[in-house]
Amino acid sequence: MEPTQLAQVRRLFEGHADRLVLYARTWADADGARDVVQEAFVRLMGVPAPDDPPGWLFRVVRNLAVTRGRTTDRHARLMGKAARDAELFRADPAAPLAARDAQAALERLSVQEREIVLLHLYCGLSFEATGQIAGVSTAAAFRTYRAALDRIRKTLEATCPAKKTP
Amino acid sequence: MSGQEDTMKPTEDASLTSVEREIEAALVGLTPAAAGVDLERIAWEAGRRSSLRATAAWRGLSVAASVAALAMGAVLVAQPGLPMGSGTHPGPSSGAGAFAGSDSGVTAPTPVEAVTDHAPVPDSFAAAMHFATALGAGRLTEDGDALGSSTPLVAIDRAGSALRARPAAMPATFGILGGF
Repeated sequence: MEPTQLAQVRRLFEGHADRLVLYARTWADADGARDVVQEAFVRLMGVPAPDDPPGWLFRVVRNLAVTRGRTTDRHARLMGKAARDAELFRADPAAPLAARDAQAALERLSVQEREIVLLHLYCGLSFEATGQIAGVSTAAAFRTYRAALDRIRKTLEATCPAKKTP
Repeated sequence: MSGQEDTMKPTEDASLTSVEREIEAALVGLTPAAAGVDLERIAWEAGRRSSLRATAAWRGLSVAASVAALAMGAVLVAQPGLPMGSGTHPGPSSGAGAFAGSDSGVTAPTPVEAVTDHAPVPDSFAAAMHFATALGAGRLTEDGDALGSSTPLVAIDRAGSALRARPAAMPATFGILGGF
């Protein structure tokens, strides 16, 4: 691997690794998500540079995580879902929303809603790119996103009445 | 990535309600947990796989070359009509006596004697298969004979006459194979 290519992989890793792990958590547990992201970067180093490296990474992570998720589901049932309880977000007292509450709200979403929220909010993808990766149209991605925000709001209002939004 | 994100921001965000924007802002304020993935480990694994691929490619190439060499040897041996003794090697029959040192006391046999003085040479295909089997078991001596075999496949005497007998191509063929 050439130094320029290695530097590009390093930039991608530093800019996207934590978001990719978060995205992979849609289907896989914490360990599985890390494995999936590592595997995606290993594959990236073994192929010619794709036209859109971030998009390529998200697609590969999605495919690997979906496959991994099937195993993870069986494993989680056996292990009492302990593996799924690892935190999605860093605890930050200054944040307007507690990390635990946000995670609980996200976990109440359907898989597709969660995927689209994570891709759009935390991975910085447009609805068009989100729809392409998730396999839905741009309009459907946007509708799903709005529905997910509504469900998150209701969940947060139920769990945190003091923070009830107007 | 901020510049990239700016260009990717959806235009549909304008149609979000204020409540939805508030929820969105609260969610965006959270930072994803650390990835817990090591780039050095990734690079090491990528290098390991790359070397495995290279090894597999060379192994495939060597197998292909071995098969081709074996097939070529079998084809050469399987042609009894080839005039193996003619021309190129200055054998004793040519009158030069190049391989029969007169001071060694060894009388150079004729090519026919070189073959018939020893045990009968198997037919060409059997000889090739015997060589291949012996090679696979690592039982070939430097003379090209199979260890434990009571009948040498190729009789090579000091006059070198038998080199012009039928399995002449085999030592060269397996010399190539030995390189792998």
